[in-house]
Amino acid sequence: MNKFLKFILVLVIAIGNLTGCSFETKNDELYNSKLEEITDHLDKYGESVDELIKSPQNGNNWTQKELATDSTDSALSGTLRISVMWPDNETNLIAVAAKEFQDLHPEVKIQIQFHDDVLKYQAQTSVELMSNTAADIIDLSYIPYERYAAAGLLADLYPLMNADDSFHKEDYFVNVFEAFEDSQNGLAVVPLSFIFNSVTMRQDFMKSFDAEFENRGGISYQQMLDLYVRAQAEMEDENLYMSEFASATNWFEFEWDNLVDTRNKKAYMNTPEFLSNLEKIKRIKLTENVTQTKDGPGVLGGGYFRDKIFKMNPAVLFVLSSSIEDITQTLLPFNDMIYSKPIPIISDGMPTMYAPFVFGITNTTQNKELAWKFLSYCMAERALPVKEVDTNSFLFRLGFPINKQNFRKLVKAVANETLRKGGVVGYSFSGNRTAVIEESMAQVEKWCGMKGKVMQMDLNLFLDLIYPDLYQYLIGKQTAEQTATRIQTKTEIYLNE
Amino acid sequence: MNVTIRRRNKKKYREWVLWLLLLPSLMGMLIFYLLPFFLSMYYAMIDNVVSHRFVGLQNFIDTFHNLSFQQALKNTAFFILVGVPLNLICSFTIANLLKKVTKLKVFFGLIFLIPMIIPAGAVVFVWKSIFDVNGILNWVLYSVGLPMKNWLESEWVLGIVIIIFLWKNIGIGMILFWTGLNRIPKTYYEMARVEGGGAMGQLFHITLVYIMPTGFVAALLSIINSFKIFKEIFLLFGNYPSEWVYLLQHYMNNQFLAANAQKLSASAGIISAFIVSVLFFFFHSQRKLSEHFS
Repeated sequence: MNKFLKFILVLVIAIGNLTGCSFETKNDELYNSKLEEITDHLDKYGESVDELIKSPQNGNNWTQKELATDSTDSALSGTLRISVMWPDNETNLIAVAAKEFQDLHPEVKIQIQFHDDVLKYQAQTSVELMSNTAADIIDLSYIPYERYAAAGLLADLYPLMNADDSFHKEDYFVNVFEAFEDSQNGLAVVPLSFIFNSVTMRQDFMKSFDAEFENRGGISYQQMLDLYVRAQAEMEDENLYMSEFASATNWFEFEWDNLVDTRNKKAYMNTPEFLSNLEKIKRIKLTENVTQTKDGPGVLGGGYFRDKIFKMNPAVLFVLSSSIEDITQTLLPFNDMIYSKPIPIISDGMPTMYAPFVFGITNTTQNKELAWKFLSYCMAERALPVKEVDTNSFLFRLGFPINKQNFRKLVKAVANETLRKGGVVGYSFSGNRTAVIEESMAQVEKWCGMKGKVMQMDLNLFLDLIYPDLYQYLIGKQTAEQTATRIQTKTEIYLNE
Repeated sequence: MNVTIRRRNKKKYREWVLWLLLLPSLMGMLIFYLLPFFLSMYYAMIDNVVSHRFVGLQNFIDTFHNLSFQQALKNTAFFILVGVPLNLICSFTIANLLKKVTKLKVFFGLIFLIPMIIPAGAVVFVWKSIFDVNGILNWVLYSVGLPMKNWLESEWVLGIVIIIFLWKNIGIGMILFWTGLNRIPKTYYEMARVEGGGAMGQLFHITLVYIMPTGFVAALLSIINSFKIFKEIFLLFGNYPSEWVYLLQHYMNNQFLAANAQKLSASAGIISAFIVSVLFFFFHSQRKLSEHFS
């Protein structure tokens, strides 16, 4: 009986080896064909972005702990207080990073105070800074930090950066740090992410008006406004739209540096050019989704795909593209799109950007080094949570991460997600998926590596200083000359304060 | 002798009790007013809250030379110089008229007191609906064929602010004057009538003379309340109103938002010095006049 059983066993093993039904899982031919099938399915149905991000060529299949161990000092201790202008949830990078940092450094305690009212937060921050009771790290994303920096209330981060051996500048977009420098070449704030402003134009309009700004490296807002007014006149159509630019805020925001000279405390709002631009602004037609009210300009809610915005309304000429999703989407070569590639919006020849995620360290804190360590941890490369690309985007407040590796991971994930969603709603593209994504990433990285100009006009200032008179002008209750004179006087008061 | 000592001891004891009873208020005054004031004067004499380098009166000098501060000082001074006398005249006149009213005296008195208790937001809403470009005033002007105007954005805006100030503060002045007028003995007026004194003579030689102490108090309160009108102006015009209603409080508020403790404290110090001077002038004048008339 034993002999018989041994014979059966040997027979099974031999037959198994010959036919492939063996105890081993690997079979090269079958494995390769399965892999091909999976790759095809990825294109059609969208596998989890998980697998794409964790591909060996990116080398980003580490856990956050493994990524962190390299660059952190295990002897850190102390208490950090952080003030954040964002709700407390899983999309808040500071909250996520604080938990991780405390796990890595059990001697460090981090207390975060969350705020959701910008005006209250600004007032509270002013009081706290003046009374030396401010948090060690302050979220300065939505408040004008230049005045705090000028009053010496924020620490210069360059000495901390230079003294930190574990911080390697080449891993970051140093050009973006430079854009945030103050007049003394100090760095009062660090951006954890940044956004480049760009516009996409209707292709046929662009061609017929010889507006090939794609090839000219960028377009200024003034050029867009002039083009819009020209189109209205030549096409004899007053109902043309500048989608998401359709409020007077934008012109002032983009042209603010040309309108005021803060060093010499002068304003240039009573010039013939300003009057002419006021008249042009008045001609901007608003869509039904944007309204101008006495309390402030309204906001347009855009569709996910820019193509839809152009197709829904044939009169739309320009659409703003500034978030990471918008720019990536408009770069990807979907077939039959009627819009151009994204064109950077420039000012004084430089691409304009703003930072939705900016932090500073209070100059009077006793924990500057610890605060810097935490901030550098937030900026450092991380294993991004990959369940939802949207979560990742909100982690960086829809901007491009300042760390180059995070940037590449996020742009790739966004590109994959966009291609997947595009496929679901019927958009197709030609060419190899990987090559398309790599090309788009390279283009975005090229832009992000350029020296940019930060636009940080205080919206509260705009609403107080400019909008009350501008609104009266836009509704026809005041002439352009009266408006210009009044705005000029108020701006001079502000500059002289 | 024993009685004298006992009386002196009793007096000392009473003084101690009075001071003891005053202590909570004095402590509150010290902690919430005097200490912060001295702290702000310290901030006014350093360069910033980080280095704490002593700069003496430099911040005060810079503030005086600041063009925006000068504009605010000019507007505030004009507002006080026009608004306060007008308030006193109107309050006194209404108090005088009310004295002569026999029916519904309390009702009419209350009418003038109600604006004092209305919240600033409601006050702004009411006056904006009158002076707004689409407001009642323009509607009336349009109806009679007169040109309309954006009153709140015109050079008349300070006049509108003065009207709001008068509307809100006439009540308190009226009450004070009414009380003061009621305290003047009627026999003085009878004697004046008997001796041939007319209404104007009675007014200048009796009423104004005996109402003067009350007038000083009313004027003082009026000046203090003139600074409180900032609430309504802020609600109407925000942080940067037109150059005609840019007041000292706007300057200070904006320095607060800019986290500039030095400029804020320096301007607060200047305003405090101004108010103390005015108070000193008032008390000194009142004492002199009282001595003269007694």
